Amino acid sequence: MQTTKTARTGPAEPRPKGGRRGWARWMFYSHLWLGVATTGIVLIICITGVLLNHKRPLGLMPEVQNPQAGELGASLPIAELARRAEGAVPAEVAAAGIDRMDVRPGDGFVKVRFDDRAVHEVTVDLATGRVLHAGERNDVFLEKLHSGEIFGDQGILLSDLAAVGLAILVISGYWLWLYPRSRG
Amino acid sequence: MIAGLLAGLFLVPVALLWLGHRLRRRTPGARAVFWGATIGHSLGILATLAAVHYPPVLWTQGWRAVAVHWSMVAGALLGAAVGAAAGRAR
Repeated sequence: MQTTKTARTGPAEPRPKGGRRGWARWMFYSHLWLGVATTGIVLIICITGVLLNHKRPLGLMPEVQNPQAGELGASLPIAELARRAEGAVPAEVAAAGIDRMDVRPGDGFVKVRFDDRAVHEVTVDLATGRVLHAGERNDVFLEKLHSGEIFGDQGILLSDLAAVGLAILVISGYWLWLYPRSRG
Repeated sequence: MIAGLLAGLFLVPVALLWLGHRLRRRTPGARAVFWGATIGHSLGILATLAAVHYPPVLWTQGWRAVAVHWSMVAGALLGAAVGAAAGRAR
């Protein structure tokens, strides 16, 4: 029995001492505790990351075409474009206010994004004021969730925590792989 | 509400890790509670992930907000209770 055990495990290695052993214990426990404590937030970041990578095929972001794009000089005033956009969404969405207006001169339209919880967006032709598309921008929600911004101004610290935790997990994982017996 | 989410994300896993330390030396009842809470929390994570992502719109109220914030804590507590009951039944 003893011979079999020795043959399987090979010659006995000297037990590491002092600083290296303490370092290895720190690596092991940081790997264990960080791995468990960051599971939930890392899973959220992973899933939102994959969804954002494929936001167009998944229909999370509208693909608007404007074949009859006019000249920028012939554009309607910004206030009029905003009014047209507000008319294309429910009253409660318009009441939430406009978050931003993203002008695309090359495409001949402006994207008017509202500050409601579902993040509605209306695409309006710059020259004619015609509404080309109205719907939700689900990718904006996913971006905020990915960055932690959805949990408030301090929420991005959650994302930072997960990122730092992942970096330490990688380093400690490599250490445990390269020096498996150093914990003693 | 956010306290429930933070507790589910960080406090419950750390508590489970602490409970799982030297698990083989604990009583069968304590081991059943630990495994029940671990499985319950894992199921709670799945419920939270589903509630967080679908539909991809901010949760503010109703069952979805409750599911996002409390699934992990509730899953761990429910699992621990089931584990305790199963441990006593043995």
